[in-house]
Amino acid sequence: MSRLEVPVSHRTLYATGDILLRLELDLEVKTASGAWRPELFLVDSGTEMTTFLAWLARQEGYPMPRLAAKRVVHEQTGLEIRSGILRFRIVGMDQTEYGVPCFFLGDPAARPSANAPAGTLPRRLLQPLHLLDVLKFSTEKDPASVAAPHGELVIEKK
Amino acid sequence: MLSYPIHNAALDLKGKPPDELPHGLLSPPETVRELVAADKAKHSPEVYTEETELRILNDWTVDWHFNGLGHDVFYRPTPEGPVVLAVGYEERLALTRKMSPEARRELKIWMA
Repeated sequence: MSRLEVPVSHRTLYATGDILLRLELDLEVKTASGAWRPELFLVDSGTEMTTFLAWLARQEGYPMPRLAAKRVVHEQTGLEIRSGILRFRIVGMDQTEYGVPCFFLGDPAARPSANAPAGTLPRRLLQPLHLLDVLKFSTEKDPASVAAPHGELVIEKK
Repeated sequence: MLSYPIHNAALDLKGKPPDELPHGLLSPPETVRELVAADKAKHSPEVYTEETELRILNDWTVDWHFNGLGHDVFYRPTPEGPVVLAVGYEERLALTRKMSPEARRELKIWMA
């Protein structure tokens, strides 16, 4: 059985001193030519859908639909949507290839502005609930766990 | 003793394009060292290993300079601090297209 323990990352909010927690997962995403490119994703069960910037997907060669969906835009960013599949494997686990539904956001031909305000560009979010047929996700906090002061995400292959 | 709010470096860098943001070796500022020390004090030495401390020191030093700017940062962690190799999408593509998959896997990404 393939199993991976991912430590929870934490940062300090400079304005208040609060500790912010997040789960980051290293993936290798499959290009249209079958190559694998490393990408870091935020694991986010609240996102409803995995998201990726369409411009970057085109630059890296990740396959996505040619046409944007009609009569719908991504609510948080206002960007157009290409509803496709993101194919990847998980760094640190075996070589199994997974696929999740993914919204490729924005115009693939439009380079994002370097001055775009923070929060207006889509983040790389991975919706883990789409993988529950093949993977088990659990969160744990073992006080004696090395390298995981704030706990960890455990991913196990079913 | 730390008191909040803390004025981090990124607050003075807002609006600058990626190529004008810090690159190369970033020495951890004293405030970041204090933050890491305070964090370390909350956990047992068995949990907060030397490796964990180094990882957090590098990550938080990048965060100090880039938090809120909206750009991903590609860096190589070192005991002296992170070496920033690329900031933002354009530099990312320029950097990683020349890299072998093995070399690319050694990079750390600070995600905006």
